[in-house]
Amino acid sequence: MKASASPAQPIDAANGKRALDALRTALGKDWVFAAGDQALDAYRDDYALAPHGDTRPWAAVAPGNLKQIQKVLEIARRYKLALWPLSTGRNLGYGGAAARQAGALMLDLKRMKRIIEVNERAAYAVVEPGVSYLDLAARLRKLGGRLWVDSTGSPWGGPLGNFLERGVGYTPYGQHSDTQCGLQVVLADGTVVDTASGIKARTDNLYRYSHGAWVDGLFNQSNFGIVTRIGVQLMPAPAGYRPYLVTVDAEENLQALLDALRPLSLEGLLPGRPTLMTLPRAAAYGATRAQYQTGAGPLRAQAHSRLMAEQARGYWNLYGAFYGAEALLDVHVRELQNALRAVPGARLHFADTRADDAAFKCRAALMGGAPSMDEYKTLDWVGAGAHLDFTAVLPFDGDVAQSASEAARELCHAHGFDDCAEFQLEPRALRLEIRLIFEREVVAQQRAAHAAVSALAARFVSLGHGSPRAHLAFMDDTAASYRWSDDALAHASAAIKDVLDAQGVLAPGKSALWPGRHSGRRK
Amino acid sequence: MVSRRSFIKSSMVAGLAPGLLHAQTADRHNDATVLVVDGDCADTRHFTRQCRLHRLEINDSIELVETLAQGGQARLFGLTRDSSYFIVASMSALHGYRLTYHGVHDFRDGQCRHQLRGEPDAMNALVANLPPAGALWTCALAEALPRLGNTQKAALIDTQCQAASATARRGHLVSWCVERV
Ligand SMILES: Cc1cc2nc3c(=O)[nH]c(=O)nc-3n(C[C@H](O)[C@H](O)[C@H](O)COP(=O)(O)OP(=O)(O)OC[C@H]3O[C@@H](n4cnc5c(N)ncnc54)[C@H](O)[C@@H]3O)c2cc1C
Repeated sequence: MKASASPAQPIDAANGKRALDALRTALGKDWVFAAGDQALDAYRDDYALAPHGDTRPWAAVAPGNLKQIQKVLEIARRYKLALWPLSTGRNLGYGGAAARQAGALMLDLKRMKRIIEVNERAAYAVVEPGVSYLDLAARLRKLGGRLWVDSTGSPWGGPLGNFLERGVGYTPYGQHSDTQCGLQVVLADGTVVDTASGIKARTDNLYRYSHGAWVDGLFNQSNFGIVTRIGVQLMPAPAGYRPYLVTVDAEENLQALLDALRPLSLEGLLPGRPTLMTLPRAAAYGATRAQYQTGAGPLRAQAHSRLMAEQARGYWNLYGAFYGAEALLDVHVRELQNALRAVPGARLHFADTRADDAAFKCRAALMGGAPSMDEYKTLDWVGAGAHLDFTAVLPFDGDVAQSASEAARELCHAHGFDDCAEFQLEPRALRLEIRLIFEREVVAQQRAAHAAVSALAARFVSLGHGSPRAHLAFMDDTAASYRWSDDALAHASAAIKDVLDAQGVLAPGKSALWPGRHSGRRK
Repeated sequence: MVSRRSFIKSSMVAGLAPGLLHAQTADRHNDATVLVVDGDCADTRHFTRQCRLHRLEINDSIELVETLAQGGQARLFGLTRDSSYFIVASMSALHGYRLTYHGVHDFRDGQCRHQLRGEPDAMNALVANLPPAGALWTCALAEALPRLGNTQKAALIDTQCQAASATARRGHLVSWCVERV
């Protein structure tokens, strides 16, 4: 099955006017933004990539409740409009607040921003799409701070949109697909589904499963419904918390470091989502590139040495944290120290010696349940920066990671970028996030970042590593790399799409799910 | 009933900087211009007499914009790193503010290169004054403050000039002005 974009059907002027009239009647004229309205400018990718082309929407609507969403859906079906839902609309690095293609009707759910419930006893919250991590953290602080929020490095985004993108945070609740509990979804035909229970049981947001097929994952990175509510488990503030940094100077000791950490990770002795950053990635939190090197091209060895000396870093910098009572923290630290004996040049640091480390400050906040915008400072590395990420998943294996890291560095350098990568450690897998930081107004840099991600994707597919999340511009290519058994996975998804959204009104092209693609399947 | 304006504001968030709101409401004057500077990078001594000053940490930027906008602030002027500007610009646009001036100040090899975009008369004055000011270019910028922005003219010009000397610090700062439309 060939997955490629075809432009949204442009609506003709007469039908367009009728559709807008119907939307204004349904929502009130204040909540419909059409051509000429400055508000429409907000629905774009602030980190635009020139080769991705035009994604300007046809119009936008901001419903205030579920009934209005159902009305919008009815109108979208009637006029064959392509609806693109947004929650907080901060998907920067992956397409921002833009749709996959031009001509969409943006369904902006920011107005729906109720924190419906915070259950302190059972440690969960139920929120609407417009609630940001900052909103939720402020509410939890008001309640006394007994519960932590697990935020991303971009906390003006929110738990619902981030879950739908299969995003991650950095406390032990950082795998957001695992800490979601209960979804309310409106299907394309207007039906409302409640995945946790559906019988209004008292365990709605305590227990993830109802009876029969477990469908929550279907709405994650897909376009099978409009999610209007999510249950999010919250971490009780632990008795103690100790963030740490491990530095290793030599690039080639990545393998030794990861092999030493693997047993700890598997045994659950590296809680949270420890993040292992290259030198430029960690340095960018508190420095700009121009301080170390002027002119184009990746940082040279001399600049690396200066950065390492001035910032007391290694080429590899692992930010992690332990949680629990003091005695337990000490045990964890000893286990880590023991493991690090096998790693040449490994040093373990704590907060007392990292007061000047901007990366430590940001990571310690995020790992400690406190949202921080500090990661945006890393984009100052190149001046007026933006970023595009390529993400791959690898087995937790030092040898594999060492080769992957070398491949990533070689390709970043070949395209003129610094090696701004990080490995996020999961018990059995490594999530390698390769960040291309580029000057966002410079078209040549946008093109270079685009070309670098294309090259990285091709190389990583050839190495046998899949990519779990993609920018709008790369969704089709990423999906096409999962080709096993005559594209069976893509066909299964396409079949579901055709059943749940036969007219294809919901987010055409999201995660390469285009409507009407199943019928041509070879038997 | 939520109004359209408060929908726009609904993208604002409750804060990271609880102290800020208090500091703001304690202010007796509602000056036309508030200056925002990055706490960790800008030399602000020259600005303090021109307008009210807020030292900004990136984590405060969202609440700062919300607070100033709610207080009816007409203009915000900033001398910051780009990341703070990006957040302020994005949030202030949601409050109905528009960018009327943007300057990039790039320090490289002992030189500071200024790239300015704004209302033509104000830009011409800046182009004349920044290069001779050299390392004290922030003073020249401060003097030009009242003429930056504060205009309904849509025409913007791009201009570049080089300072003969610059501070030792290398990197990239931006100055900007957003105005309520
Ligand atoms: C400096 C920086 C740091 C970052 N750090 C992280 C990080 O640590 N972890 C991480 O995961 N990401 C990170 N990101 C990426 C991104 O900002 C976040 O993932 C963010 O949470 C996504 O944006 P959002 O929550 O506003 O979702 P939105 O932009 O609202 O939604 C994302 C997409 O999901 C779909 N969608 C949204 N709402 C609905 C709905 N109600 N129904 C159906 N479909 C919907 C749409 O396709 C939409 O385009 C970072 C970005 C930057 C710039």
